[in-house]
Amino acid sequence: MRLKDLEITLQSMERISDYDISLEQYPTPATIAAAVLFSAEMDHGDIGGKLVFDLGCGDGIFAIGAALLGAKKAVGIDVQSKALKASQRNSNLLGTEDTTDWVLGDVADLALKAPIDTVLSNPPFGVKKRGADLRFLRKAISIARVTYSMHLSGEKNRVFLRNAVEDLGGVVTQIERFEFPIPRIYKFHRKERHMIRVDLYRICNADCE
Amino acid sequence: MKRWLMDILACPAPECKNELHLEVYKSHMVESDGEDVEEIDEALITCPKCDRWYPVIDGIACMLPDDLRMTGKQRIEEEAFLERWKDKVAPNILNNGIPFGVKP
Repeated sequence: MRLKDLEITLQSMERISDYDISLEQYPTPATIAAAVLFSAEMDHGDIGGKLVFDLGCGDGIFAIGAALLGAKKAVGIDVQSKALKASQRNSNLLGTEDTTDWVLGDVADLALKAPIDTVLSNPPFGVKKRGADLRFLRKAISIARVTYSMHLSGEKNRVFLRNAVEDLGGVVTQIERFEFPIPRIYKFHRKERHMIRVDLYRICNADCE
Repeated sequence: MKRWLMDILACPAPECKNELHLEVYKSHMVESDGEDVEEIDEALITCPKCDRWYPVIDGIACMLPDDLRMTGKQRIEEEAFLERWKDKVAPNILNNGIPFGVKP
């Protein structure tokens, strides 16, 4: 599948339209999800044939995209049941139901029988609720060989996150910046739509070569 | 929910992480890539170590921590699940389930 085809396919997904402010959910734009997934597969071979988890999956865009790119299995976990219902519908729509599955649960409590290959995650940014993004990172690094995680950009945050990742037993191998359009989904947003800078971190844990 | 999910997940209760047991109550077949795949609609997941139960409702495994199950809409949905399948759910879960059973 070409990048353009993946983008177009993911753009046809149903996005969640109301958001829980305390969870700081910002839907990953289809173009960015497609670019992240495509590069993870083409540059690193982290998707095809792999067992992939999407932590805080929302409408399921990373898990479904991973399944479209040939992941062996892709599982999304989220604490909101209406998000998972959207994920289910999206998976049916895009024909990935045999390789995707969904779990209602708290990411911090997720327990697996064996380590997995890859985590993809757009965690809460952790601005309103301090440390929310670190809870996701801690879990990701403990279960997956490779983690792709999106965080607010900025020099200070990069230094902070690099150290935090190291404390959690991981190594940041790559940072890529994206412009992330945030639609006016929360009342405290004053502009109709604004752009924020988001960094995608690729993190290896101790099992990663 | 697919059966293979049970090959991946362990019990999410803190300090438990044990292997889980699955009892399917209702499932249907869907065609995907020219193959028939079993989609589980309703099932009971149990942990033999900490004795918790978790429902599969409308195809989604509900494995929330106790505090998020005890109140609100989730509690209502999970109680309705026990009620719906009370002829199949083991009596010890109905009566003294962890984190709750059905109201007498």
